[in-house]
Amino acid sequence: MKNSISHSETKFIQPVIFFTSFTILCYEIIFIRIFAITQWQNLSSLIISIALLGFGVSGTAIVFFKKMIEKHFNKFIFFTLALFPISMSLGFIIFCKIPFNPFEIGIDNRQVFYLFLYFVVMGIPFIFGASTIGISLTRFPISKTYFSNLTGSGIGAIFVILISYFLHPFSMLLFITIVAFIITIVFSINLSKKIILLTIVFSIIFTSLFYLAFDKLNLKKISQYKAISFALNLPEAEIIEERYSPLGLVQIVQAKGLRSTVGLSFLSKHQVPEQKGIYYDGEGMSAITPFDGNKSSILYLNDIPSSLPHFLLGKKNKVLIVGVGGGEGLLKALLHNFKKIIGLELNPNVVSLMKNEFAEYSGNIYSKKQIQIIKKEARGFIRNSNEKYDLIEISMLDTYNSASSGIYALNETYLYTVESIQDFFQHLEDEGMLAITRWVVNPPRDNLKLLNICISALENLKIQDISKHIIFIRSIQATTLVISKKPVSESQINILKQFCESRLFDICYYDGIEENETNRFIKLDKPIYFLAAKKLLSEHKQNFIRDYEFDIKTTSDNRPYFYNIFKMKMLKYIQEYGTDKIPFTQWGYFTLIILLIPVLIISFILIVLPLFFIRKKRKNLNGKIILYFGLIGIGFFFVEMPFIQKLILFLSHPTYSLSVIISALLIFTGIGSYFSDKIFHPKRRIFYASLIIISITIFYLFCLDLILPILMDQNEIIKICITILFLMPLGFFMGIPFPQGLVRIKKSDTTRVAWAWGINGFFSVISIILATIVAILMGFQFVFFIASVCYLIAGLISLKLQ
Amino acid sequence: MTALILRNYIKLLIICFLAFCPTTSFCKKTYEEKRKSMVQWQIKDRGIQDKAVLSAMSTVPRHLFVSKLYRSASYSDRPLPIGFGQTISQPYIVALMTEYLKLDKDDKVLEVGTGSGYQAAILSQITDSVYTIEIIEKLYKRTDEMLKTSGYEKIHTKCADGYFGWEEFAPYDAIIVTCAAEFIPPPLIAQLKIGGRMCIPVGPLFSIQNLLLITKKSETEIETEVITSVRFVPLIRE
Repeated sequence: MKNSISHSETKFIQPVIFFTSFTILCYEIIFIRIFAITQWQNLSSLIISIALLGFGVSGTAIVFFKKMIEKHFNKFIFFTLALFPISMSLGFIIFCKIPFNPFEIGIDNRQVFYLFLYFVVMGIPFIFGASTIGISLTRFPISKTYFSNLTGSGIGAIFVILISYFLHPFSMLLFITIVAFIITIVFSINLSKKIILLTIVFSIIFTSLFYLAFDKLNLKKISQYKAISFALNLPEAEIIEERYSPLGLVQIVQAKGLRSTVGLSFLSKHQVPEQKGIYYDGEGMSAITPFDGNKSSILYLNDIPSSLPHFLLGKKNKVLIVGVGGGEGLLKALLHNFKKIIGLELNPNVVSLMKNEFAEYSGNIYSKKQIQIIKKEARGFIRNSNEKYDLIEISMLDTYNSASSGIYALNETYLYTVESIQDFFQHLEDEGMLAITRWVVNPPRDNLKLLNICISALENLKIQDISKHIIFIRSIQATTLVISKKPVSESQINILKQFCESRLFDICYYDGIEENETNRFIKLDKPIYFLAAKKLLSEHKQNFIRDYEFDIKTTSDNRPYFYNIFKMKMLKYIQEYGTDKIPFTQWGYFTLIILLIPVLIISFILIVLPLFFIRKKRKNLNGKIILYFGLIGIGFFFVEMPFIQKLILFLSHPTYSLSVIISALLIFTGIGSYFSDKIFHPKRRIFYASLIIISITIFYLFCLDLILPILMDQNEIIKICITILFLMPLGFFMGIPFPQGLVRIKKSDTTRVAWAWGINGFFSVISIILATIVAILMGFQFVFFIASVCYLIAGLISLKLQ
Repeated sequence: MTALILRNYIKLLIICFLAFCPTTSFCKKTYEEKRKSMVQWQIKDRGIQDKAVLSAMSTVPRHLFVSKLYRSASYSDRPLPIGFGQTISQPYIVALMTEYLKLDKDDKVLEVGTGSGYQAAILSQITDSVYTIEIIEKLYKRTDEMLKTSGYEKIHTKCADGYFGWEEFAPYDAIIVTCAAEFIPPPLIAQLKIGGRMCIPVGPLFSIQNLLLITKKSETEIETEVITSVRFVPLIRE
């Protein structure tokens, strides 16, 4: 290899690569958080794709500017380093000013352009950041450089989670910009003193201006389409508390006229007091009700559908409330004199606020003698709990907008799966009840899906006469599904009828119900809930599910996409009724397919096409290289993505799962890369590594579901350590194929390194989105299976790769 | 080249002329024409038949209820922002909700959520007793002044929390709620006459909502009907 500058002429290159990778990963995760706060939760996989697109494009750019880079190596590195923080901050300012609203996609054509603009401004910094690494890979020892890159990224993923306890996500971006400028200043040592001075001055001025822009340009403003923006328009509205953590931004709003209680009866004689609202990432709200111990002030809680099981239950010893939030469930349980109330609240900031700042306002409900608040995720808690409950209540865990607008359509939830319902059911006392209250969405879809899941869970548990265990009611805004451990008795049916009649709630189902008892008060075109329940409890169940316009198939821990209601049949429905009835955000995985197409085209144009143009001039670039680097790109993300999705249940929260898996996998991949030229025979090195990856993947494919549930009860730190241990061998061997592939092809031509970098980037971009689509359609196990096949073929190709 | 410059110059002149047109008599005519075609294409053709509603929609100058910035779009088939995170509803929704109320000349109607005042103005063309409540004080003051200076002084306005209705003048023959709520405040049902009708959109704030018609058959018998789904998205931003 001929270099115009020797290695020794570039100082600090490995630390620079390490910290550049560190900031890139931080920027990626921060942007996922900012996107969730300001806009939409759905698109994390797309944002990761955009990041990788930046990597791919950088590879292509390096190939094109190869000669110039060789000549002015240090200058190129310097410019890419400097342009990274500049584009990051300017891009963020533009991002904040783009009037994008996901709910209008399909209605307003400009929204597609806005979304495209979003991705352009988000993607450009990745191109510059990745170029620094890509250029270095063509010049410095691959295994060492790749090690710095991956470990830097891995540590960045952990770091960003840690600082999110102390910094607002928007401030985190400012922090990362400063770090990126410091890296640029450090590298400028390789250039003249004048440049060092200029870089320092420019960095200080630019960062100061960016800091000022936050206030002057009102960059922290949340989209007006978020629920919190609506609340802030009320008189005397203000955010009185704000807390941040990896679990999200928690804001408490106080305003005149702010009230929330879902599905209140028209005939309620009791007044709903003005409340304060807890908003999670700008969505919500979970109401904090003023309570002075006088139960007459909360009697309105008897007039909402979720209070039905409180009236049906005879024995009221112990209740488990999943997702306590502002404490409405606790108040209901207090109103009905439960002796022991256990509330699960995952967000420590909410617990802290309720126990301290809002303790007096809320009547100390989080600290009452009969109430115990546990900071745990519901599945992990219930699976390892030996206690049984008279009532398990899961009420209104999704916000109004998220439930009906589909912003979670691509998110995993392990709460509404067959296994989850089985777990809850098995923790009921002999006469206990599981009650799930959700928003009414028309036409009915997720509520019917939930009913189907519950029926399947009871079938799996071999419960006889399932129909006798089910009660289903609806009010104007909410449905409540009650699953009783014992068959519902005649007297309970009488209570049910009286409860609904006096509150004008419609009964959708109980065993023995007649059609004329349904659809009486809140009239739909036809008694769809009743008819659906009848079908789902009959032998025609499968036909009904197949023919229904929406996907109401059961979800499992292997395919936990409860919110995805899309199926191809829906397209006909959308065509007939337009996007007025089913907004784009509810199209589930189809949104990804639609978004994948432009990403695919852009990636092809920016990465593959230019490389093919160059390929014509070079005989030694061949199809094997495309296939090899493409397959290991797909393989890597088809392992990483399902791991992130699958371990959400084990690690209790998507953010923990995302950061732990990304960081562990990257660090161990980096270590693997570092040692990659020291193990196995060089000729068969990649092949052996691939076989080991396949073996570990297959082992996890079959054993993960058996091992993880046993370890669910451990505390979070131990669970994170266990996850890291799981990923250690996998990551180590996954770190071998890419750098060793590069070593092989670099021997004859350094351009091929950038070329392979680009090809790998292109397949990585699409494989992230594809992995999510395949997981939704076929489940995680199938994604792992595809990953194994990719590594197997790549391993075989490696035997002839040179 | 000269022709190109000239063509662009003429284009610029037309744009400037159109930008200032709201103040010209030419545009008054245009607004009337726009209103006429709005009633024909957006309302009549979609099945609204109530003559009083059609007449009201043909009479009330909707553009006066929209800020100058959006006046050119005031008769288009969409909601528009009016500030404070609120919107003036799509003309068809205004007509549809009004028709469902089945108002007579001497009916008393309560509107919760005055907003721009357009819905109240439409109601005032059909009945003499219109009461409207707005919770946002600044919006209330602006709309109240506009209504009074535009010939709608007989509309009774109040700045208050809509949750409690307007008990002083209850019961009402009809209640129209023009902002989506998580629940329907029981005091509003209580202030509705037996036989009275209430129309309310229910659903997520900026997405698809269900339009409900509530009929109070007796003190304990209330029937609710889902009329249709409506889109309630502000298509142009403030």
